[in-house]
Amino acid sequence: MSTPLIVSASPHATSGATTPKIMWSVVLALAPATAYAIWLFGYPALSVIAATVFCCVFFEALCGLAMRRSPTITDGSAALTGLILALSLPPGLPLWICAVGAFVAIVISKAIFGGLGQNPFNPAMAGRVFLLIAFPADLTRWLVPQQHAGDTLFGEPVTALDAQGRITEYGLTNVDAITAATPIGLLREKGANIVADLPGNIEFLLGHINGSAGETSAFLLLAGGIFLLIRRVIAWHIPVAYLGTVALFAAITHLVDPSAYAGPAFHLLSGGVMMGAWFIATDYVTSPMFPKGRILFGVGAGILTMVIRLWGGYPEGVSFAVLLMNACVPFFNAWTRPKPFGATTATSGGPQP
Amino acid sequence: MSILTFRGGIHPRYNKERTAALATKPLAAPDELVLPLSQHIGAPAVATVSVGDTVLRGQTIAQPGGFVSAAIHAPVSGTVSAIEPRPTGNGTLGDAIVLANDHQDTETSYSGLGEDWAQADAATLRDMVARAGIVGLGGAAFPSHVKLAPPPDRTIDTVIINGAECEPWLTADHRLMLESATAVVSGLRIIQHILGAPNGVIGIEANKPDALRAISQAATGTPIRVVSLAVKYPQGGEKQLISACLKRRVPQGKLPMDVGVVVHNTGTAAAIHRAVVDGRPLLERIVTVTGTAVSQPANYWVRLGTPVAHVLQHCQTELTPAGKLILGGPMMGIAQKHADIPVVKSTSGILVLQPKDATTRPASPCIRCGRCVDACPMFLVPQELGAFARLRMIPEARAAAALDCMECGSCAHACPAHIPLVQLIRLAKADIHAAARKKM
Amino acid sequence: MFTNETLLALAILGSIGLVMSVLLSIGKRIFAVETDDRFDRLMDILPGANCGGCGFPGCSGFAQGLIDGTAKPTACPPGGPEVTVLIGEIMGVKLTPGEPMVAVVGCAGDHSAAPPVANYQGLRDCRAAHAVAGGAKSCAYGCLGLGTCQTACVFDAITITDTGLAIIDRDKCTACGACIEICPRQIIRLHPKRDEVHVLCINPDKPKEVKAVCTVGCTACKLCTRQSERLVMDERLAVVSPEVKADIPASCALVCPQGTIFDLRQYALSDWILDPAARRDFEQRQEAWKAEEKARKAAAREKKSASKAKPKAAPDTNTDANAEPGTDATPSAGGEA
Repeated sequence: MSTPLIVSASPHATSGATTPKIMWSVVLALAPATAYAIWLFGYPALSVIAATVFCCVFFEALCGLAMRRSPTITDGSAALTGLILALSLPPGLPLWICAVGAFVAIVISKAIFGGLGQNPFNPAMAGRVFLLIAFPADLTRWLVPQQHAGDTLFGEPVTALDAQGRITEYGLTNVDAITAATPIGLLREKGANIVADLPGNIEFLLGHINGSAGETSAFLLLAGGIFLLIRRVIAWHIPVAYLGTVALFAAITHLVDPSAYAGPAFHLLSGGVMMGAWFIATDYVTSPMFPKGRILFGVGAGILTMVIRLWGGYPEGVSFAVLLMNACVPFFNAWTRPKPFGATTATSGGPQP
Repeated sequence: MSILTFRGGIHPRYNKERTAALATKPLAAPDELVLPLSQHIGAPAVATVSVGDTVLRGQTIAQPGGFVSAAIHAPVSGTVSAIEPRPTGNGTLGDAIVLANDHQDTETSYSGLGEDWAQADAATLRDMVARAGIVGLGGAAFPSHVKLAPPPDRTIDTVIINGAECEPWLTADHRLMLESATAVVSGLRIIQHILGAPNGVIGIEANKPDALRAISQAATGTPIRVVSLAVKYPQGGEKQLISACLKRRVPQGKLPMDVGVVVHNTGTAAAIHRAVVDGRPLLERIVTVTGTAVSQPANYWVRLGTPVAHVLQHCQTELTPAGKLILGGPMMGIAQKHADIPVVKSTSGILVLQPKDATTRPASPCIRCGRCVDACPMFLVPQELGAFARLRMIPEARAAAALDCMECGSCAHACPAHIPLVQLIRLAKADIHAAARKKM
Repeated sequence: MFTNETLLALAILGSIGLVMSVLLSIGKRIFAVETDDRFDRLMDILPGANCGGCGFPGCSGFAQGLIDGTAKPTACPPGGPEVTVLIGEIMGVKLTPGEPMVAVVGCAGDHSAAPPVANYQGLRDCRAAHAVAGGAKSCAYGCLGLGTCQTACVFDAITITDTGLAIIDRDKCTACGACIEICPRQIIRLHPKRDEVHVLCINPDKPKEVKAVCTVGCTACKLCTRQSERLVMDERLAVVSPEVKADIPASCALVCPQGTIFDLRQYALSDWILDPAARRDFEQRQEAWKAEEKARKAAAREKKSASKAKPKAAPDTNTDANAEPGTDATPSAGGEA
């Protein structure tokens, strides 16, 4: 027979799922929130997003060449890391700092461990945390969305904005390119009574609050997350466990002292919780593989997020919580591995062959 | 009514609509038939004819080579032209009896027990099954008379007939249940009688409502329970079937008989009926010929030993370069290098795929998505087993229950990185067995 | 420069350092672990490759085994005769090293000689490929060239050619046996290093079947066995006998019509497999040698017929009756004796 047929081991059919399809569908799910952030903040957001994504892809290609591996930039994982990192950074961040973040995310947290699938820590969060610690001032300057000329700040009307939408004057105070703290930062800074001064929750949903681009579009992020859930790209365990824990924690503390602690709605909709629940904590590579382990992961991340937010040294706890839970993933996997069919224990290999 | 089925599994594209409604046609016998002496699990059969002998259709031409073995019969009348090594469907050469067909189909005489088979004792019936050369026709080809002779300390209370046919593309069992429903039901009753099992269950996947009706009708008046199973692969796996039908779980390393159950394929049941009632041996089986490269897919009654090339020629199907020829279904079937292999007792389907469906994508790194874990019906962690296999970590692979893997292919089907998980796990299993042999 | 504070700091830190070092040296004595000093000396002389060829887990395992008496001193292939002698010195035993061996891949059938009959897709591993449809190569016994042996070799002695064949560098090979164990077709065998001629084929099938699948396989023509007593037939395969002590002349390789026999006195292995110029040179030398043989045989026949022709005067009917065709002056059709 001279027809060279293809021979391979069974099975001879696949589901059609591929790694690029998964990665790009997550990018798609983030697209609405990304577009909205660009609309809100304009060029500052666009430049941060473009620069971070470009640098991540560039570093991934560079590492692939240096380590003599076949190119992996088309699988979308570097672009996704870049996008997630960009959405957690403040718009207007100097682009060279974005590049440093991309370097830490791709080269140090991913490529050095062996590339896709081998990194123990979430690359985007590792990049963000590094920047936060190395450039604390730049990472805590938050821009006001450019649509809000008539807005007030700390009860005073905003009277001047610069070309990029930054408040240069509020009330009777002239300041140079002042940047206002985020609601969470406000909480921390102003102390207990600020709860009463907090903007109403609806404004969170519509993004009329200064903050990182990721914070401002909780609603769009939620929609993106549900899209991924329906498409079976992510499992429900981590988002539900995480959001549930955050809500529960906030509810309990709010009950205990309503004037000091904000309620569940505030905590769920502000900061990086929505982004974290649907896009960051659900990263396959750095989260547990088994359903029960995923629930443990979500609960642990939720508790840590709240503890850091309420009593920790930083206004935002999502990135640290995720990284700390990433470190625990091997334990979660070991504790919750499934028992083989008909076995009595999880590590039962069965009778001798 | 759908029964809550097993945990795990996948939902592949089935493509059964191409042949599910096509009545089975007999395929004209070829000029030369090749009957491998090993078409079953166990010792190869031993030829009882010599080169040059004339044989009649239905005549025994090879006796079982041990207890776990099976007899072989001539599906045509003619002469024995050779007994020599020939290529077989598992990629190796195997000794085979080659028959030159005289196209007369002169049959030997058969003596069955008729409808009064219940008068005979279990040993007689079992012997008739053995002499008919019946093996598991679902693909495993385990000699049926051995399954009908469990050790005395195992009481069987339920016999399940596997009508799931969970492999995509294949409709051989489906057609059999429609066209020979009474034979299937009768076969189950015979098996129950032999084993002394009071309960009989026939499980059929819900995507075969006509078969469910036909079998239910044939089973009216009997205590046999006909159940509808959820459409999922691998519903037809023994342990999954028992778990779904009876909610019993076969313990690790044990067999169905250890939970009082014996499972047989529908084709096997029908063959047992024919052997006991009519005295006819196993001479042919239904084969579904289908695939994206087959323009006229069909179900055929094919005589055992018919070369696959002959079947394809009859169906006007050409093998194109870079296409794939598979014996069996797409999940557990075996890819072939050429079509000069015979149809044997375990050949339930011949699948010919076009190049675009045949090419395997290169593997990319594992992203730890966990889809393989979700899919595995034996509750293993295929990702981990694959890594152990690559790194030759044999004790760890053994502890992770690599030997429990039934190689159903659900994990590799689900994997978005196209990692050849089944191939890796097979390597790990081979290493585990080699290490165990070394220790001895 | 040295203020009071500085001197005080120096004094304090200095005394801490002194106290710590005294404590450490006392501790070293109290907590010392008894080791057999032979262990360290053995570890110094062993190759340190941890190849497992001795059957022990790494060189340290072997050293411990030697001390415990569970290891044979001659068991280290990479160490070779020098190390064996040194082990003997350390352990206080006189040892004669075994014969140095090398591993040889018994196949020269790359893609051009034994082409693939199917397109194998899947794990790039010979064991895995062998299990799929019995291997996609035309010859069921030949090298699959996917590099499993190369990965197993810790001495980097194995290369896989672009044409899909494994070749072993005899200078790097230490006969540890890892490749032999892992090859699914058992193509690699150990041979004494001093052997210079190898039959590069293990296909035992009938000549017609071998010829159908490979252009360089052994077709059991037995011509090589006539050139040397060391070449013997193992059923339908020519092999170099390990027991027979005889020379193997260059003609063994030249007489083989398939070019199965590799003689490393004539060519380097990589040239033999990869360089078409080497093959062309071989064919030319083969033709030349055949022509010489023909001439030699013709001359021998001439001599024989000349010596038989002399006593023709005597009525020796026996001689005429026993005359072989072609030995007298009349030319016969074939001309071959």
